[in-house]
Amino acid sequence: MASATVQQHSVLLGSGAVLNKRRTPLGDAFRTLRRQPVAMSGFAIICAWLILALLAPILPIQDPNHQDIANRLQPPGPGHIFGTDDLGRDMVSRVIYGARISLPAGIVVILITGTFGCLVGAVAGYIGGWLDNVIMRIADAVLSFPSIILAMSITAASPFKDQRLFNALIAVALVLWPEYARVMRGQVLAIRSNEYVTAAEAIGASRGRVLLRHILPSTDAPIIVKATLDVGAAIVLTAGLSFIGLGAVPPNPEWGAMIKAGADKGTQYWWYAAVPGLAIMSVVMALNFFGDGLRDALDPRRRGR
Amino acid sequence: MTDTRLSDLVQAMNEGRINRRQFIQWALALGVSLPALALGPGAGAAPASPPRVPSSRSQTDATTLIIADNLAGNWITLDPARIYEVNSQAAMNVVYECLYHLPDSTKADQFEPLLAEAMPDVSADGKVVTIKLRPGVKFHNTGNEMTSADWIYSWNRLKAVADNPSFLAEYVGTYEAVDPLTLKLTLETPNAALVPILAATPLSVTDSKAVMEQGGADLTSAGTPEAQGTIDFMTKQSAGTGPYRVTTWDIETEVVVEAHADYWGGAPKLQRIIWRNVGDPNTQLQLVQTGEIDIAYAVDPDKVAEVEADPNLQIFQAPTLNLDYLAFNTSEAVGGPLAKKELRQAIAYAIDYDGIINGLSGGASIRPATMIPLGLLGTEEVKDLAYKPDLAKAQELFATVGGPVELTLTYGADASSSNGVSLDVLLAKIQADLQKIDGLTVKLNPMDQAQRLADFRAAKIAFTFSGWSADYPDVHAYAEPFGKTGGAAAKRVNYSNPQVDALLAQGIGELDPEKRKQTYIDLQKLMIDDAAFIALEQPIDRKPASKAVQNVTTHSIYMIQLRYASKTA
Amino acid sequence: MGLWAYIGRRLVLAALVLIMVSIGTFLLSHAVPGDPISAIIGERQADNPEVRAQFERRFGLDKPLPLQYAYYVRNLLRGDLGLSISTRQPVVEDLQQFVPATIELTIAAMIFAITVGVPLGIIAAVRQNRWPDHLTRFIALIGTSVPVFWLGLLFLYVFFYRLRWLPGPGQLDPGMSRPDYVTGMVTVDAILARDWDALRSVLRHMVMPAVVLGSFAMGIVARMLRSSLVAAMSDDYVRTARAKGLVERRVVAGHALRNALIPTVTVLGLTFAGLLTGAVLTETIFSWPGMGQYAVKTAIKLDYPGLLGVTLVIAVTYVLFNLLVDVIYGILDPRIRIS
Repeated sequence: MASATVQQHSVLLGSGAVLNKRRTPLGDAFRTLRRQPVAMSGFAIICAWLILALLAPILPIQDPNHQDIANRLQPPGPGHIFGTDDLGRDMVSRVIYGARISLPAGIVVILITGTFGCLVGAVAGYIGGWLDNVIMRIADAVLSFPSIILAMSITAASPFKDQRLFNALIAVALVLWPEYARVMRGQVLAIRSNEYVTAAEAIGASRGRVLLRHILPSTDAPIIVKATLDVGAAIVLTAGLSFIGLGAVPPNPEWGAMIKAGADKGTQYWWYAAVPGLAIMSVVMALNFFGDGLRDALDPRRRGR
Repeated sequence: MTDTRLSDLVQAMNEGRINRRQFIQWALALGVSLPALALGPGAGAAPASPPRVPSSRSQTDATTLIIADNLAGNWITLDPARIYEVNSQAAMNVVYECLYHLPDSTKADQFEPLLAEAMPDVSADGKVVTIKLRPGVKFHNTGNEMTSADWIYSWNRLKAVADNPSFLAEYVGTYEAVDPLTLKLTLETPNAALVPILAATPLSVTDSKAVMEQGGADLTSAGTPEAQGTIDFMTKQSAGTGPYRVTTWDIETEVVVEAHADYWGGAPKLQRIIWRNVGDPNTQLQLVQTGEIDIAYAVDPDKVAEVEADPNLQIFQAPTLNLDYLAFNTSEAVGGPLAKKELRQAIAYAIDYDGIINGLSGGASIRPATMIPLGLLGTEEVKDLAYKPDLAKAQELFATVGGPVELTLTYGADASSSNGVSLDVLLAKIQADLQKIDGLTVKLNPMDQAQRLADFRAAKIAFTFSGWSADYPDVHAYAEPFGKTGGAAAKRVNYSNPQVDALLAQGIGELDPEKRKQTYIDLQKLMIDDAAFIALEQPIDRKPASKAVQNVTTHSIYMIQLRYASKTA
Repeated sequence: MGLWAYIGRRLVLAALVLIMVSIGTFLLSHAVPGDPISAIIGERQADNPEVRAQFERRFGLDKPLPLQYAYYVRNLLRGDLGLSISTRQPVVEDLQQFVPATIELTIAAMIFAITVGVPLGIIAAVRQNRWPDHLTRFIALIGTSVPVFWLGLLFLYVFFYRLRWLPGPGQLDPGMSRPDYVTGMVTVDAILARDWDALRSVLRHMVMPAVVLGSFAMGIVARMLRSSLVAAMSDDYVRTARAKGLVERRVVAGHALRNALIPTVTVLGLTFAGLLTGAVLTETIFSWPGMGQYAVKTAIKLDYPGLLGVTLVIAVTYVLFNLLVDVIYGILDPRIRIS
């Protein structure tokens, strides 16, 4: 899963490089972005986490599931830099292995839900009429569910009983798609009225071709920003589900589940919840830094301000 | 996850396409309509909660005892015909009274008469039981005098509402009032556990006149629906003979019981007892430490040392009659390889019981050999036969099963053991222990607790962690469900052993204590070898309390024995 | 199409969404393979078919699914949401008890978001691209990045466990009774009852959950205000004001801010609905007796009458907010009315 992540980034950067030559907005954006220290530091933190996650098995750390009852709940100190949990497992190793769960989970969920939402939104916006109405009303209905409650019900109703993390991810994906559908629909509506689209339709291009060749390529920027920011949101929501006991299955070191376990133990054992919490926070903040920078860079009105 | 239309909107407004006044109007409309919107349907209706007593500071003085528990999560009602929750038994015990009671649960066989004048008078064949009632007992809500008619009505009502505890009424056979102070019970078969059963709080007495005034039904047939008025009355007030009566019932905030000055046993020493709704055990402990409350219901095993070091605090503790256990389905169809006794025994030899009891539970447990808790008849005698960790033996037994085995261990998600240890932690420990057997893989499967129970009950789960608490404190209350073919727990794992069945039939009818004890010892030896269940731990209940609290003990049935409670200033 | 026809059409659509929500929740909760009866009656009683049947009758579970839904809707229209399986009280009564606590917490969170978010946004815009701007954006970013449940734990650790500045979880000090029920909101009820001790207690208890819940909205407000203020300050009329020689402070306060506040207020209105949802985790951590805690309790016990009630309340709030925004759109941009 982690390798897919890296690939996704190279695709992103690669397309940026290609677009660069044509002096597209995206290409400009990446050049602007390179000059923004905050955004780049976010990017660096994400890369660091990805590398840690990827290399975890060859790093000189303990097995995240190695138990040592005699040394349970040890505060941070020599031997265990971040302390141990209530089965004497090493927190450093559990947090690093946790990245192998949370990061790919967040990225894959957003890839899936984003693609689905965009397709649905594009179709709704382009075709319009009753189909648009039906799709957007469904989107409204989903959005009006309290997301965490919807996710709780989905997790409970899922037929894949022993795949709780998978269920949680499905739930997150089902909760997030309507936002993409809305953004995409709005964009398609705006672009559809442009002259070049009308021209393409006039010369007899099929609807599908117009949508794929003329409309979709112009919509990427806001969606990419949103997706970047939402990877963080997906990680937090997944962790939230784990926190109320609907996420990863023990003994997997999922961050939300670790925070929950630490919270149950109480504030006296502060490191138990604090360490995985810091991990989530660093990832989400890094994504926000990067996404914000990306947004500013992509917005011609804001650039240079 | 902001609404993306917001940015469009902002842009629209920035581009000057707005009429500012309109917008301010809309913004105001948003703000004003909110509370009304959020209240939703029915918001206009008058608040349906009961009239409250004017807000009063409850003083932490020597006449008020304040206890913290997760009321919202663990309490539902104090109606004797409906109560089936464990934690609320502490209040139940001081509000309603039975014919017999168990003052101290560490002496589990020492039942005493409460509203009965003496122990029951049993006929020679053991089937006719006559009980004399204590005269001059008054109900705390009306002052009505208690008579045998109240008992008949209360037991009829227990049967009629067909709620959780209704099955207990089946045990008392047919009953009639001989005179206002005499009850006669006719049983189909002799029952050695009759007195413990009669001490179960659902079989307590209710003021029949007061209940009937609220629209109480004619209770001749089971399943008679009760008037909502009666249900409300019995939920929010009380109609018993106990030393305290319910004055406030609001499980989101507090439950208050006030002393009944006219109590037949003399006015209680405290003026009131208050249960506060505090969900988190760590907060409960902090409140005891700061002196804001007197007793906390729960304490994390890892915090006990902290309590012991505190000069202002004490810990009430005593073994419970609860059990945490592993269950294996013994049928080939569901249990698969677990149908082989050798695999079950191998698992029993692989578990590091000491690590669980002294490591995770901080020593707050004991361990019986079978599914009958220590303290009950015939359990001390077999205690040393319990499985002990022996990996070589486990491996040897496992070899006879042949081939690698993969098991899924199911447990209730977001639950804790009876000791307050998170199951995610406890089960990860057991998983690691079992995987020390070469060739055995164990996957954990946390499942919604309600659903797990449903599946377990339908005998669909191969391997699970579960808990059990007593309906009444007698050896039979455990031996029967776990041992008898078709028993409440045995049928969940398709366990059947005809020899055990025969011994059980002997045990319940045997009125001679020594002979009865031997029967249960023999039966337990068979059950240890069958290993359909492995008792992991029998928790010791520990409740941190202020040193000002006196004459209180923990209790395996009532949770806290508050009947004799007092406080120093 | 006229404005009123447009609004009418939106109303119909909103009603459709609500019907879909109610069917969706109803089906979803019934698709849960668990056994709600066994969730509430003990291990022992669920084996007794007579008792099971009794419970199924009481909660209407013995009827076929479409009929159950029909009953549900009929009762809903009468303002009856059924009997909660977990509390065994009418759901409407439960909601009357839990919803006010959530409303007051949400309002407190909003107040925090505004009183902190607005100054931050202004400072950032005025000191654009200098250190106050970077600092403000950093704070705003933290507000939107930290998971609520973790921020809550952090606050409890620092301000309650370590510093003892603020009380721990709960709504009132232990040993304190709730004032008489009038609105259900303890703050308001305490004022009505002139119970100043209770008021002080509830306000102190509210600080942490309100800040935690409001931190996300605070971040949004600060960022939104900054960007709209920056945009407004480059607008023609502001330039004119500057050209007239007005001092910078009056330019910002008198002209740019007034315009920039409008989008921010609208954003706030929409965030409010989202806050009701965010309350689930906050209330769990701070033992705040609101709708979020009720939602978790009903979900755990598979109590669908209760869960349905909570969902409907939130869905109705959300749909009405959407409706308002749609109508505003319609007024703003007549082209939308046609599509």
